[in-house]
Amino acid sequence: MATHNDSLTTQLQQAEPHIADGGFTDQLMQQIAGQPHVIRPKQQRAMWLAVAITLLGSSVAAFGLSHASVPDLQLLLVPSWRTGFTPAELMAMLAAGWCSALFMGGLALVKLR
Amino acid sequence: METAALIKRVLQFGDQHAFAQLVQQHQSALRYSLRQWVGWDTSLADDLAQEVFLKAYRKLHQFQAQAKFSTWLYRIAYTTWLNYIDKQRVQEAPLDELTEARCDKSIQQAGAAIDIERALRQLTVPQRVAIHLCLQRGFSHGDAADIMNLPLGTVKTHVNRGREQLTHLMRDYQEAANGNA
Repeated sequence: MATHNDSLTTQLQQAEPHIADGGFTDQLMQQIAGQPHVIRPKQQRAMWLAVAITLLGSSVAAFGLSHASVPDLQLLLVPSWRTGFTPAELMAMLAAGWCSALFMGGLALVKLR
Repeated sequence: METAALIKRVLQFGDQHAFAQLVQQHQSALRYSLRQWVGWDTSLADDLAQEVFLKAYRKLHQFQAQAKFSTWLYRIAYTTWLNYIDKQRVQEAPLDELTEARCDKSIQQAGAAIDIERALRQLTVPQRVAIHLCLQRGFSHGDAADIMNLPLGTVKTHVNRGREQLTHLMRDYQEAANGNA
């Protein structure tokens, strides 16, 4: 450190107040706890597992949609395919697929925190 | 615990308590510096200080052990502040608000502090920062040049011109105060 010992330096240094922490550090550490700078290997494995299950869930949902027998749905998405699933079966497949995707996506987010 | 030991604990064990101690050691000085740079907007300065410490935490592995932690931290702070003013136009707080930060000082000291801050506002931004780093924080001209990413000669010029102007302004304020008394 340089030394600048003159009256101006002294005045400047004396003019400076000590700023009390006042929760500054706690607030910062809460932010840090919520945003780790590294993803640990265990979290990485959980993330890849979540991605794989999300893809699987989305595939199930896509399969359900592509085999839709509800006329409106067919009209909107896949007009020419018809397999004879009942609306209840179709909705169950869709719901299972999307719930699985949402659940695993949420789990991935929780694990990454 | 010393700064180097705390940094080692953060890097080796991910010890967040050690980082909290580092923050506690530097928060007052850094928050005051940022308040001065942003024009005494305390909320803005504290937001930027949080950002600076967060960046420091994330980049701590890049810190070179032979360097001074305070220089490294101030380089982050200066860059963060420059990035901010690139995006926004910073308005300086009215002088009345400065007294808020002076409650722990005597009236005479508080008056002197306000005079200094009023005088500092008359300087150009690089002069103000160079004066603050070298005179108030005690950084060498080389460290200040490193923090501000400016040539050494430019920093010395800012310090010398700023010092001359500040001395002149402070003398004027003192004469005016003596005249009023």
